[in-house]
Amino acid sequence: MEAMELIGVWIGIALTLGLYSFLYKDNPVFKFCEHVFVGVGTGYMLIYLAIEVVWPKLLLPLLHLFQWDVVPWLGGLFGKTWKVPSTPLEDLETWWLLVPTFFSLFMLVRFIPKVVWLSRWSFAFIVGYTAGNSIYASAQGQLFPQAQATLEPLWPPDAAWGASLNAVIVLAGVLSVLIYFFFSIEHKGGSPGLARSRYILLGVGGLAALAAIWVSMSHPEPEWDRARGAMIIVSLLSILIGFVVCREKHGGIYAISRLGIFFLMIAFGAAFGYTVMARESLLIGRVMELERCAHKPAGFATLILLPLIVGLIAFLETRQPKTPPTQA
Amino acid sequence: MSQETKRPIARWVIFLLVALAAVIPYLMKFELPELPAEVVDALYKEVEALPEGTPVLISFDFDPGAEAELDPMARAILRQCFRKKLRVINLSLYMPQAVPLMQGVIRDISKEYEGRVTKGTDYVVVGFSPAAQASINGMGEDFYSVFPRDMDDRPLKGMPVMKGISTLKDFGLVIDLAAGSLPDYWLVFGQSKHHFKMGLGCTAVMATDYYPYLQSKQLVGMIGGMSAGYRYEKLVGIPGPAGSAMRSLSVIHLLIVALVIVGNIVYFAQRRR
Repeated sequence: MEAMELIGVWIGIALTLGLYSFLYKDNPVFKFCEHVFVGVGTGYMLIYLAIEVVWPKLLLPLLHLFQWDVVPWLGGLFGKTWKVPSTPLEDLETWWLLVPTFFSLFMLVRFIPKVVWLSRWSFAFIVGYTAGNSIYASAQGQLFPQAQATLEPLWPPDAAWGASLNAVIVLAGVLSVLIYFFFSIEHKGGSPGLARSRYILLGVGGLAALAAIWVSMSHPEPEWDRARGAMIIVSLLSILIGFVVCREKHGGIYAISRLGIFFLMIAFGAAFGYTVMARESLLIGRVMELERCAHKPAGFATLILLPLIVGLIAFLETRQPKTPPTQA
Repeated sequence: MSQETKRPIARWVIFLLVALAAVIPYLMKFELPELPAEVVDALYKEVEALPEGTPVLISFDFDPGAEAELDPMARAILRQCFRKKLRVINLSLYMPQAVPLMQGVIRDISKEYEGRVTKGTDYVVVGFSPAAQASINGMGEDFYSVFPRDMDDRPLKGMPVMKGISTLKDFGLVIDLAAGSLPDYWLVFGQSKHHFKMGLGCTAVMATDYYPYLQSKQLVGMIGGMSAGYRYEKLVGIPGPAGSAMRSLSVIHLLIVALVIVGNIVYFAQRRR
């Protein structure tokens, strides 16, 4: 192991042990390691972005544009062989780089109260771009494919019974969870006209659902997919809207919403189980590293640092001022 | 009596038990039964089915915090790609901390296949690009507009490994190894627009979020967490770090199940009193 690598290993093991000392209690060694971790992470990211992104993609072309021949000299300062790009950008393309440059600088003016309003331009641009780009893409990439996957034929031809069961469970889960959320708050108000609309909507929805089920059973061919999809959408929308204008969660609706809770609990349970496994994996990853560094090639780092850190925490503990017991 | 003194098992006893359950099985050697995992097998089969020379994009979107889970997957996938003689293009869109991890994995695995794979012909590391949303959009239009050069500062255009690649849809498979929200970006701004095949390797925490994408066939397969990584290592047939970790993971699971049962028994016993 090279000297630099060995130093890195020792620092890594010391920080690992220091951070695990939180299991005993919050202590100065843990605090120190925590701050080092956050500081190093942020510093690394900042320097990397400056040297590998801002410099070559923004500043280098701009310097080239202005014919400032300082590039090799600056590269030397960072130990890099920076050269003016052999295939420089077109002038117009480079001039465009001034736009993100100014937007970036505007973000920094938040520290100057007089011109703080300039930073809003940058944030407005970011929010506008992200929202505009995401709305259509999310519908195309998440909403429609997921809705389509939910509305799979319940009895597809030549499919195993497991596929049908899966489709039924998915549909039941989605509908019951939606109903649970729509009725989580009691809807106040409503008029006799609204109540009549509700019955009409529920009627239309029910008929459309029956039609969709009939089509699924009698015409499972792909040509009927669109008709089936349209019926299901009409059914789903009208029933949901019909339910939204309801006032209370009772009777059958209450039973369905209870089913929704079961589906939610199953989903939360699965997520929690996976989360526990992830945390265990992280612990095991560190244990593997501690074991790897307990041998000669790593200079017995774990074996030497463990008693040192325990001793340091014990020493700092003795230096802590004792708080007097509070009077009852 | 305070809440602290009411506890039937002290906190440190649980910590100690978990620590022992992590350390002892790791130091011991015992075989675990092989369990099939449909979604992991699906990704493996998808890679196996790719013809020789097919370009595969691997996005290393994880930081050191998730290395324990994702590093074994990355190694297993790279081994499979190199064995299959696929062209591998490696990049990262998550955060700069992913870059040294990516370089480390590629350095180790390419050393294993020394003489059989060549940098620039069979694989390339193109580096990191910030702003994942814009980067994926850019790669969808023109890959070289986002990554004009590789990490060794050589122009990508004209490299043998990049032959026939101009946008994302030219890849035979895109695999995202992620510990954050990057798969959402890849799915929404990449897969749904350009219709390439996509696989996912993710932390266990994320796995449940991405099962719906398997159902909708937007993902061809998924490796979720360390246990799935172990399964993938088994499929590739070369033991890796996940194998050793799985012994500890299994014993910790058993311990936690036992603690949950004990906790419930104590809870109901206390309530009856």
